[in-house]
Amino acid sequence: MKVMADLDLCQGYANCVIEAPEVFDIDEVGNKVIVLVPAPGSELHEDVRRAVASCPVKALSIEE
Amino acid sequence: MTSAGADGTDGTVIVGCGLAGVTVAKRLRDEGYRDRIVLIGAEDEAPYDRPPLSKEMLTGSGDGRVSLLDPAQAAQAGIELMTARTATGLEPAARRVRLDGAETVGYDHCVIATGARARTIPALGAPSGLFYLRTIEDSRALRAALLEAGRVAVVGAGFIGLEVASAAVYRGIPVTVVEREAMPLSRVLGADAGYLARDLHVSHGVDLRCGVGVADVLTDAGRVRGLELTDGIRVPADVVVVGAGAVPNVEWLSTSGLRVDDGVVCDGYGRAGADGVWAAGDVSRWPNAVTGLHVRLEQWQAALDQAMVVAHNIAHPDGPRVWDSVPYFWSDQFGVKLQFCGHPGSGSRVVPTPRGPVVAFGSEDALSGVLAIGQPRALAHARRLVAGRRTWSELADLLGGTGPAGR
Repeated sequence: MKVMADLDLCQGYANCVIEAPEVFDIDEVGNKVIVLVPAPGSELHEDVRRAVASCPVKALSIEE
Repeated sequence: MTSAGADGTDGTVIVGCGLAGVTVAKRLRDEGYRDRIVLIGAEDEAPYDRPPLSKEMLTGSGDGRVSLLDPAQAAQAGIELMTARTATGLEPAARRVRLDGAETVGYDHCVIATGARARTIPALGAPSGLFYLRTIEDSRALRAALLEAGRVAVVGAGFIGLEVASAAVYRGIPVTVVEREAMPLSRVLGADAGYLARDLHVSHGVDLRCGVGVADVLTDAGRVRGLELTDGIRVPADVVVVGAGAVPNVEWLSTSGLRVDDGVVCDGYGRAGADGVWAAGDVSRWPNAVTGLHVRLEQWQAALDQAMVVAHNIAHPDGPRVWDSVPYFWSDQFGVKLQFCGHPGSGSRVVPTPRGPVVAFGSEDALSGVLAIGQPRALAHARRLVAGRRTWSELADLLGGTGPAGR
């Protein structure tokens, strides 16, 4: 799994941090997502899918 | 006539194509579900997301529409999208949904996701210039009115009302907010949160009038001219927006035999009390495994989470899941995010942090919820403390130093 973030769309809601804190963080200065683990292991895939679904502005995507 | 899938099975029929309905449809395919999926929506619109309707739609320069599923995506996923069709009844014994006209659609699984509609206040009448806000049509009409508005009045200082006030300020339009309670948001979140919301709005120039009601809507030739309040004050306005909450769309279920009591009553798996019938989103009332409450939530995240649980449980009947995530919602006002997770519980206290105040809910030794204003990272990490029912002092420790210490 490869995780991608569109920083033009991201508005810093941090919903992804709620769902998958191991994979995402927020840079509160720039108010943008930080992808901590761009290729997460399978044990994190479900959390990442939830994080992608939970983004209100659809800034996250995955390639499986 | 009753239609069936090409393979002879009726598959899943989802009634309502807001976030909950669309999420069930998409997740069913993600979960490997191969039977027919029919997604029925009453509006003559491809499925869209609602949060922008009171935010970017009103402030932005573009349309601000966020699509949930366009017809091409639906076709690609094998989802039969039927818009501008209204479900008029559910017959659990015959396992079919009645539609407007004489048509019925048979199902193996039916997901009720008909959402909620704006609560109207009949006493206010329906003069030109008076708006409710729930659908994309409502939002487009309000947006057009704001482009011409000289003064805006908002009735109700809940989240919709406060977001509209914020949009008016953004557009440079003077705005008055009228709230019967003593504080904004206080009906949902109590006094501590109310003070913070009040300060936020007053500091941005909103004329906030709490503890007072609307006595009359002033009109001239059928057009709104303002409000007369119960304290005798007259507030001029050529646009009035009413944010009085929402009521679940359950009337079509009146002969279904399902238990409806402030929404369709579900168990923790999303089952609505008849074989193969499920419900999710604003129309439904689920028990939450974290909060222990069985209340109807009109929240984007709850609709998403419940829909994902329902899709999983339809696709994997041998390993069903319950709704066990911490409820969460957000609001955008004046470019600041107000975010809440958990539930308000019995009390609250303001916790000062280097980045501004946060409100802790529940009791000293059992944190039930957190409200953060402009601190999305803190809220995300605080949610773990809510899930674990930790203490208020642990929350203060988490937020007090250089930031959340992580995990």
